[in-house]
Order: sequence, then C-alpha cells, then structure tokens
Amino acid sequence: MSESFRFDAPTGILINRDKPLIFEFEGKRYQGYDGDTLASALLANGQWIMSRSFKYHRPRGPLTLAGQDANTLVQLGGEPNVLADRQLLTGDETVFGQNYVGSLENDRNAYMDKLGRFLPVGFYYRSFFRPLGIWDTWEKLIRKKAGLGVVDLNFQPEYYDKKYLFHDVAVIGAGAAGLTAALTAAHAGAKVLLVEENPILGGSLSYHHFTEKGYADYLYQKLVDDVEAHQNIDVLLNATCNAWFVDNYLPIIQGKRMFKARAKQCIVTTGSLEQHVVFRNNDLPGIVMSSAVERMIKLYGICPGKTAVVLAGNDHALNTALMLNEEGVDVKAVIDMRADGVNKTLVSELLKKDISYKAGHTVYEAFGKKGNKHIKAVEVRAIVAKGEVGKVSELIECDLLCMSSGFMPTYQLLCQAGGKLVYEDEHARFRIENLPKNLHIAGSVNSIHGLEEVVADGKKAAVMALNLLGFSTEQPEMVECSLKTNFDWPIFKHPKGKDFVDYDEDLQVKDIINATRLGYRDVQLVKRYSTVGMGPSQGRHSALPTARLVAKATGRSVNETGVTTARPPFAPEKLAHIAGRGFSPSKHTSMHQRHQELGAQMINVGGWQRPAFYGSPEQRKTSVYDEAKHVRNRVGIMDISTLGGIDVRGPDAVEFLNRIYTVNFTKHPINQTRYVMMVNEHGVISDDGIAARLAEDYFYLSAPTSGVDRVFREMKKWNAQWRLDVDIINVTSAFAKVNVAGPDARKVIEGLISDIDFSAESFPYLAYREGIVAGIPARVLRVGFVGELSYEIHVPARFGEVMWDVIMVSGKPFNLKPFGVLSQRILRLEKGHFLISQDTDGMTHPGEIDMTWALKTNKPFFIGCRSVDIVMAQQQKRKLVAFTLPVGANSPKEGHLVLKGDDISGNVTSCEYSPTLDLIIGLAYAAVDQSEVGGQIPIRVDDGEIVNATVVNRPFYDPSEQRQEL
Amino acid sequence: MTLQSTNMARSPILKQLSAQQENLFPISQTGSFIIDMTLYAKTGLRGKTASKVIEQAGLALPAKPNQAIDSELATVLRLSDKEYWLLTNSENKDLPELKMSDDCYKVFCQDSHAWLSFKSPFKADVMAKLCGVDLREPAFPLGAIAQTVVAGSNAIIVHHKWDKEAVFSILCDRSVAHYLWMVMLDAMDEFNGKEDDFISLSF
Repeated sequence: MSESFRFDAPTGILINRDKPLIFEFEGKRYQGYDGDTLASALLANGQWIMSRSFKYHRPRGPLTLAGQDANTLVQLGGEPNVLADRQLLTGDETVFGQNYVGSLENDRNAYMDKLGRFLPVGFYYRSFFRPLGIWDTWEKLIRKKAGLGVVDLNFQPEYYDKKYLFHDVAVIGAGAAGLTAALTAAHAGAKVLLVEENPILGGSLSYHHFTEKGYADYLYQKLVDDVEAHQNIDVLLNATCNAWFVDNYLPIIQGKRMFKARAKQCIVTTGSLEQHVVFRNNDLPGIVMSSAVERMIKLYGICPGKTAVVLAGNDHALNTALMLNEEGVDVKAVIDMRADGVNKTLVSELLKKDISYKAGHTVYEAFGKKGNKHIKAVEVRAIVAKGEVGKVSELIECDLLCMSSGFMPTYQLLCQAGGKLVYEDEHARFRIENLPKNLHIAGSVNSIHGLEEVVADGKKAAVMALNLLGFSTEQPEMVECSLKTNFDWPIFKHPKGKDFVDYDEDLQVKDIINATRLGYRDVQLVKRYSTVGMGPSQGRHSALPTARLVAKATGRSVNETGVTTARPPFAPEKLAHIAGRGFSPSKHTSMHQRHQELGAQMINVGGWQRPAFYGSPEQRKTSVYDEAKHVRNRVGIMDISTLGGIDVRGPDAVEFLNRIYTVNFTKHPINQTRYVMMVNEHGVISDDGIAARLAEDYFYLSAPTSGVDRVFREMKKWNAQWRLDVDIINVTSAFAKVNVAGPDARKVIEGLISDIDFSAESFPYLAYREGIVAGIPARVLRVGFVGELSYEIHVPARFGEVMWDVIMVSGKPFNLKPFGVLSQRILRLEKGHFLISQDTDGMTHPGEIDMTWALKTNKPFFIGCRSVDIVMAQQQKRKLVAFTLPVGANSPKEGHLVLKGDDISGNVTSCEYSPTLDLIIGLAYAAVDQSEVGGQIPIRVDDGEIVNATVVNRPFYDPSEQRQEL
Repeated sequence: MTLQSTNMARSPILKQLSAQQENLFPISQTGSFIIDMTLYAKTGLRGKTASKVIEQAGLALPAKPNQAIDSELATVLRLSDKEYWLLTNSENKDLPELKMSDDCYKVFCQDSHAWLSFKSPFKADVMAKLCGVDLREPAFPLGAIAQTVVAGSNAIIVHHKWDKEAVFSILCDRSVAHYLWMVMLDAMDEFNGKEDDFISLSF
C-alpha cells in the first residue's frame, strides 16, 4: 500500500500530500493523494499495467497521462471504460483493469498476441461468411471476445443537467495562448469564457521544461494570477469542449453537467497532441510520451523510472531529458532521430550532464520483461534512409522510454467547424485553413511552438475577435515561428511487426499498408476497412502515421492524402450528458387535485394527465364498466378540459372556416353547434370537432386533445397565406370543461343557480348558450359524444375546481359519479363515433368512413376539396365497418388484421367489451365487399387464431338517437 | 374585489406540493423568492385598435414588441404589433378600466396563463438551466420580454420591477404551471444554501 515512486515537493503541484486516499485496484489496496488521478496514484505505487489491449491482449500502461489514449481505460465500480488518467481519485474506489480473462497480470487470452499473423485486418469480414449461415455461429464467439468492461444493468440513474452560457468570447484551452487571448479580450471589455480540460490553468506551462525556463515560470504565474483576478473572465476547469457547432454553439462537459455555450467569437487554443514513434513493441508499459513523463513529475510528483532513454524528434524531448536528469533519473541516452537542425545549446547541456546523445538514430525495437509487462531495454540503430535503419545495433537497458516524434494540432473542433488541415510535407508542419469568420486559433494548434510567439499569437487571435466584436480597431500583428517540432518520418517498420500505429485497435504498420494493397487508397476507406482511428482515442495518435503510410504506399504526399475526419464528440460522453435532466412537461387540468382525491388512476393523453378510471388498479375492468353503465343508467361527470378550444373571430371568420373545414358555415345559426371535419391537401381526413357560433363574426371550435396544437398551427399557417381579417387564438387552457352526461344530466344541471334555461325546449340538442352558472360565467354546449343527454360546461380555468365541486353537490341526489377516459372510449364506441388518428390513418378519405355527408360542395373551396374528389373517384378498396363478437370469443386488439382469403384486407382500429350490450364491439377496415351488414370478417387475433366477426350497422347503441336528444 | 381574486378562483400551483416540498424552501433572510401570482389581475388586448385603447386608459405604450413598461397603473407588455397584456403592479389592485372599441377584444390571459414572479441575485443563472435565451444584464435589460421556451414549455419572461425590485415575471400556460413551478424549484436547489434561500408563496 505504501507509495515508493514519489518525488518530494515541489514536484506534484496537483496533489495534497496531507490528504492520503485509499482505493482498490484489482483487489489490492493502494494509497494515493487528493488531487491524484487513478492512473497517477497507481503509477506512484509502481503499478503500470492498467488494461489489456483490444485485440492481442497486450499489457498496456499510460501513454499520455492526459486522457488522450485508450491504454488507461478501467472499470470503476459499475462503470466501464473510465479513463484512469482523467478520473480524479476520491478514495474508497474499487477499480479493475479491462479486457482480460483471469487477472490483469496473467491474462489467459494473452496467447492472442502470438496469433497475430492469423488475424490480419478484416479477417472476420473475409473468413466467416462461408458456408452460408456460418456467421451466426462465429458471431456469438466474436461478440463474446469483443467489447471492453462490464455494464452494471442495475445502475441507478444519477442527476445530470444542462445549462446555457452566453459570452462574447469563448477561449478553448488555457495554455499560454489561451490565457493571453482571454486576458486580451477581457481587458478590452469582452465577457470571456475560458474552458480548460485540466484541473489547473496553464497548459504546458504547468509541466513542461521550457528552454526559456525563467521566462516560462514568470509567464505562468503572471498569466494565471491575472486571469483568476479578472472580473470579465469566467473559468471552467475540468471541462471539455466536446464539439463545435455552427455560430460557436459549444457543448462543454464538466462533471455531471453539459453547458451549452453560445459565444459571439471563439478562440481555439487547444494546443497539440504529442505523437509517438512507430517501432517494434512501442506499446510496452514504460514507453510514454515525453510530455507524459513531464506531467508525471511536475503535476503528480511521480518518479517514472530509474534508468531512462529519450527518443527525440524535436527539442522538446531534449528538455524532457534534462528534466529527468534534474530529478535524479539516470538518463542513459538521448536518441535523436534528427541528423541536423538540432539545438546545439541543448545538446551541449546534455553532454555536460554526461548524457549520451546520438543523432540520426532511432529505437528500432523495445524489449519487455516476462509477459511484456514493462520495458527492460531498447535496441538502437542508425537511420540510413526514410524509415530504414542500419544493421548495427546497440542494446540499452532501461525501465523508461520517453518519445516525441512531433506534435499534431488538436484540430478536432476546427475540423468540425469546416477547417481544413493542411500538411506541409517539406517542413513536416501543419496549417489549418478555411475557418469560419468568428472562429480563431492560436498557439501550437496553429503550429506556433516558441513560447514568446505563442503569447503573441494568443494576443493576435484576441485582437481579431475584438475587432469583429467592435471592441477594438487595433491591427493584429502577424506571428511567425520557425521552430520545427515534427520529425518527418518517425516510422520504422519491423519484419516481426508489433510496430503499432494505432494502440486502440492494435493496428500495425503492415495492417495499414495491406489495406492500401487491397485497393483502399483513400485514407477514409483505409479507416473504415482497418478501423484505424475508430477506437476511443479517435485517431489522436494514429491519424498522422496512417496518413504518412497511405501517402507513401500510394505515391502521394501527406497533404494530398489528408487525414481522417474528426467528428463530434471530441471525447467520449455519456448518454446522461446528452439527455441532461430531461424536461417532460406534464399538463394538469384545473380539477387535477379533485381527481387524485377521488382515487383516479391517471394516464397521459396528449401530454395531459387525465383520469383513466376511478378506483384501484386491481379493479380496473370493473371500475371502467361500472362507470360506463352508470352514465347509461344515471349520470356521470367527466373532466374534458383537455379538449382543444380555438376562438376564431373577425369579419372574415365565416370565409376562413369555410376554407378550413368541409362543412358550410354561411348559414350556421348563432347559438348553435355542429360537427366539423377537416381534410388535408391530399384529401385525407386530418381532424374533426365541434363548432359553436357565438356571434356573426365569432366561433368557438373544439378539437381533439392531442390534435388541437396541430389544428391551431394549420389554421395559422393557412391564414398567413390567405391574409383574411380573422384572429385565431388557442384558448384550450383558458377554459376548464366538464361533461355531465346521462339520463339525469338535466336534473343535475338544473340544480345549479343559473340564468340559462336548461329545459329541452329552450336548450335543445346541439344548442349553445352563454350565461352564469353557479355564479361563474360559462359557455354551455349540448353535444352528445357518449350518446346520452349531455351538457358540456366551459368556465374560466381558475373556476374549474369550484365548478366541479358545485356540480358534484348538485348531483349528489342523483348519485352523480365521475367517469374517466376508458369508460368514455367504450361509450363513444357503443355510439359508433370514430376517433381521428385511432380509427383513421394517413390514407383515410371521407368515403371510407361514410362521412361524405360532411362534404359540402355548395361552396367554392375548402382545403383538400380537389383531392377529395380525385381519391373518391377512384375505386374504393376498403371501408370502416362495425363488427360484433359474442362474449367469450377471443377478443381482437387494435391493429389485429382483417383477412380476405390469404390477403390482408384491413385491420381492427377499436375494440371493446360493451357492458351495455354485453357484446364485443369494434371498428375495423375491411374490403368493400366484406362490408355488407350481416356478413362475416375473419380477424386474426393473438396466437394466430381466426375469429369471424359479424358486420353490423353503426351505431351499436341507440340507433334512433333518442337518448342524446332528450 | 375583482372576480379573479374572489374565493372561487384557484391557482394551479403549490396546494399540490407536499409539506416536505414546501419546507425545502424556507423563508428567505435575504429576499430571494418565487411567488405564484396567477390570481393577481392581468388582462390582454388584441386587435388593430389595441394600442389606442391602452393609451386612452392613460398607460404608456412600449415602443415595439417584446418590451414592457412599468407604471403606477400597471405593467404593460407588448407581445406583438397588435397584442398587449396588462399586469397589475400591486396585490389586490384592479387594472385600469379599458374602453373597448371595434377591432379590439380581450384575450383570456387571466385564465390561460399562470404568473410566477421570480427574484434572486441568481435569477439569470437559474433560468440558464431551463431556457436558451440569455437573460443576463445587459442582454436582457429591465423592460425586456422574451417569448420563448422554458423547460420544454412555452413561456413569456418579462424583466420588470415589482414593488421596486427587479424580477422576472414568468407567464406560462396554466396547464403546465405546476410542472414549471417544480422544475424551477429544482433548478434553484443548486443555489439554495448559499447566501440566499428561496421562499414560495401562493394563495
């Protein structure tokens, strides 16, 4: 449990040595410190292996220590694929490695490493498809082997949310360029958002051993202090900007929150990704990027090894060697791939410290301890040509190899913004072009690497942004940097392979070359064939060597070849981040609380909470049937506030409605209601409802609960074209509505004090009245959806609950009971009423449901009139029919098929048991020649049984319409 | 007493909260609050002559849509070229009488919309968790109106003064008022326990 690989302070600026934390890895207890990541805490204990590789099960340890590679993916409790070098240690964690059988140290699948020659890229595409059907067998085995980590299917969802941010300038990346850009913009008065994925500001200033050390230290302190003190700068630490969307819309993930930032100007200072060198066994634990070693030492105080070799392609790695030396690590040699262009001062410093320096050489192969669990030596050879080495080799023992072949811009966000990555083959340098106007770049992402130039570049980007914001008129000063950081060909193919281009997918040099030989010349095709760059690190380290290899193999330049596309997200993100807190508005009527008090079981109907029935869930059927029978025999009350309401008024109201609906409103009397139907431009029935005329120029329309928004939207859309003098308002929520229905309905209503005469003579069926009911202004309609004497009372929503209460009191002598949606559906079906969208579909025209009576041709136009004529002129193939089955038959369900011989002629749209008729009743589409009353339609129900239903007339109940017109 | 404040009227909010939920937001020591003002007087006018009717009532007209003006008589919201809403600016105070004319009629905002009043030093921060419009000063100054979506529901947000304090008045469809109330309490939770608490008042 004791840590034996830690330096003393001042190294380890992120950790608090006064706060030790205990955790478990692979069943063994370890100690780390507050501020450690899981990976740094493990390294401090000498535990380098953290996972097994995807294909060959090779042991893997940290490569970047910056969350940029898949080598540190671990299982943290129930959560798989956690980046150990990003995950902060909190104490008491239980952590395991991934992708092994047995133990991480002794993986029984490690034999896969020996089978590489039998498992070339795409082997499963080409091997497991013959004989026909064999894939089904192989697939099980392959899927069992594939995948990393274990998902906890019993996990409990946690609270994630989202928040918007609005700033003048967003700066992504808080290194020297980002800090400078943020300060420059903030000083000019801009509101700045500074996003940094690490827990501290500074970027490489916080860990890199700069040549200009004094200046770097001063700059680090000064920039950080100034940014932290500036009122205009909002800083997000441990936050990843995971994508760039149009107009600088930036999703930024921090902890369990996704910020959705909108910035007028965006400056990307995301730095660059250090690149590896491709040689045999370049994946052994103990082989790391130079910057990773610097992070280990400076940020976490970790002693990365005792004897080190540094493999350099630039001066940065030479500085790493000096840093290691300063901390007491025995640097055996600096192997510099460059033959010239080297900073002689740095070399001189190395030599002064007795560090062996070899120019024009490379590591050709690394050797591991037993099981390749850690590096033990490297074989060094002279570079004799591009990618080729001499025969003379030197073996150097070491337990640490730091490498740096160069840097690739962290270009992903810029690529998403349409930026084009240009590679200057002559200088092995990148350039990014074609950026949107409000997006700027600075620092090493802009291939500016010298510290002073980086600062100047940060300022330049900010000035450009400020100019566009109108905060400044200063001319930006162009910045040039001659510092070369990329070695042009850091790839040394080995005849025995295991020279990894892509660590995520265990792809070797030959895999890429073979893909080109198979005809995949385009780098995007190579990616899809070989899966290079498709692993968790998304090509951060494989994109460049792949482009180089494809370019060479196809006789093109890297610039011509290009690199693979980078799409969002930049880093893996959880579905929980995308989902956020989730907002699902739930609508309540004014009487909602009363329904709950009465024991209603609520269901969602068109976003509303509506009572399905009243009573316990166990007695659902009984309750529903009792409610239906009670309406038929006595009187019931239903909350119909969810029914859509639309006010249409103005001089052109009649003309407008004549165009919207199929019926004619010209002679529609005031204080009268009528049924109305809409068809769409294709002649298909789209909605229906009731229209009441309140005045010459004023109509009150109802629409289905789930259809009112659509109807309202259609009305607004059409009148935007017609420009009729009419005003349309959705008043659904303004009115609370109840339906009192049943033989005793009038008695209940007459018990209320009102200035409305509710007698049959004064208030007949389909009439509309306005007045005061129980002291409340009300609109009252006599309509009969359930087929009984029925009143709809619509009152201002604030009085809905009181209206409910007084009606319940008035109805007490008549045993008034509430009824819900389920019994209403039975009642309406008994009455033969169809429901739009349930009994109609996207093809239903009026002729199919016997609604031609609602088509009024005595007017010049209504929406869809021409289409209705056309579709109805064609031979009709189906018809909505009413059917019955005796009780005890296997009851059809909505959607069950109606058959005609071997063909399907239709489907059931509604089917219920009718407690009034003691029959199973339903509506279904059937062939026209199956619609004869008295005929039989075969319906295929559950389990494939065929039941023969009898076609009957609609309505099933009260065909003479006497009850609703009482 | 106006009709909207008679004892027959009911707000859709708060009475459905459990005691535990109400206790989450004790009386504030420092004046942050969210209040259900649904039953306070509000009315709406719509039509070609709506602006004249407003002016004849002695009220100042906002210069253009999505602006509001507070006055001693009422707060006037201009929601479009031809639509105005009036909000009372004091408890139990009636709105000025409006003399209706042709081509102008009232809209049912007293009933169609709930009214939440929200005051807090963090009000823009809280709303940023629910709404995609920048509601911080100076992007959303006093007198500004945003007709937008809050937590998935349509809402009108007005930045104005209530009792000399800058507040957000949030006018939402009555049917989602309870949902929005709960969502706002949830959004505020992050700020609870800092220097301010929240109180929830209703009728």
